[in-house]
Amino acid sequence: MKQLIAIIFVGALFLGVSQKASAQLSDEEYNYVTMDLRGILNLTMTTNPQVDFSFKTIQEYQQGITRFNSTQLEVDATLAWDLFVYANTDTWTQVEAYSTNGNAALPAEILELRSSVDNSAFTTENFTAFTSLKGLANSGVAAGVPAAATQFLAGAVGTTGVNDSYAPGTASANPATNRFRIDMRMVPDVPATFPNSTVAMVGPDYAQAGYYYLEVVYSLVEDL
Amino acid sequence: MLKRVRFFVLLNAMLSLCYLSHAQSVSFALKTSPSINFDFNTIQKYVSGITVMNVCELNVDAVGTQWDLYVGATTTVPGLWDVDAVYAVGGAVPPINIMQLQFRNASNTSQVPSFFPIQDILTPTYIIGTAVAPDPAVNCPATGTNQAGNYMVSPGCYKFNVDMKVIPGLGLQSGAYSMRIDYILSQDL
Repeated sequence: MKQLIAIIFVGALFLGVSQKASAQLSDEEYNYVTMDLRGILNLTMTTNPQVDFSFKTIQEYQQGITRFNSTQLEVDATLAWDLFVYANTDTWTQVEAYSTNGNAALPAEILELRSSVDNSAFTTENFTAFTSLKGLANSGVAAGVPAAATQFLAGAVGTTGVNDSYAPGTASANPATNRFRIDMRMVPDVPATFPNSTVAMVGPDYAQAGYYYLEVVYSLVEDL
Repeated sequence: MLKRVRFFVLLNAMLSLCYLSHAQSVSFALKTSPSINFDFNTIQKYVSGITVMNVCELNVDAVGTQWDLYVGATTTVPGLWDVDAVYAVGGAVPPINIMQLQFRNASNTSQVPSFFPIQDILTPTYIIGTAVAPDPAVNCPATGTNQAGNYMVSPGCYKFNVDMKVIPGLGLQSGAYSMRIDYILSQDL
């Protein structure tokens, strides 16, 4: 009996010890990572937003005034982008008249622009050479959305993927495509008919002496 | 009857002895499984990236065996982040290798001493050991330390701080993405 008890005890002892060897051959740990890539379009004007043309001499009326690098724009974008420009109205807004004759409804197109970035490969509506800036109606821009007639500094209307947008980039890394120097020119002539304008004045075809302003809109958008 | 009982008890004891080998196990202690978000909302972050130090801490407890430690990404499409939402139509889905990891400890035992791009879990990066087993034994505090040990006794060799860095650059599709990073600790078999 004693022998039996001793054998059972030793057997139980080994049984108990044998239960201890539960090997874990591998283990895992995890990280759950999320990433939010925001679409970023930054348009920066690095010059004075106001550009003045003051015609005080006959020579200035006849030869015109050219403002070189009057506006400089820088684009930083994480998406494919387009940059287009238009006048916010169809005509210049008269603030004050200096005379009683002439036409106060000066079309926006009397202002000419030229860009340092050649966009001619993307669209014929470009500013590779001095070109009249289109007024709101002629530009076709509706609610900020460009149309076929809209003039582009970079890119073009449409999303076909072939020559219709500029690649993501920064002005510091890609100055040739992301940094724009805009020249502006106005040539009134005598009488002030602005012969370079693509839109003629209706009624009296010469400008009324006075003080006018025009708002030019530069719009940076995702490839549209 | 007594003889039969003796026989079964002895048989059981012998079988138990067979299984009473040296106890072997590997495990991460103090599991945390943290989540982390990288939010790119400025051009500078896109270009310079975002670095987060000490995202997690891996505490290794290896008993009676050599061990391997490797890491990889698990996603629906191998090699690409999982797409949770899209904000724009252009650009490419980010590849997982824009995510870089770095494993640090006091003894610099990681076989990959600096930031490295993550790979899919099917082709993981070995921090300790290799895919070939068994590896040569390496004792603490040498690079590649893979001998049995414990993070509480030798933290310089058995505790790893993990850093993360993501540099997306420009040209990727705007959106919300995710991935799971797997850290595998396994017996060197």
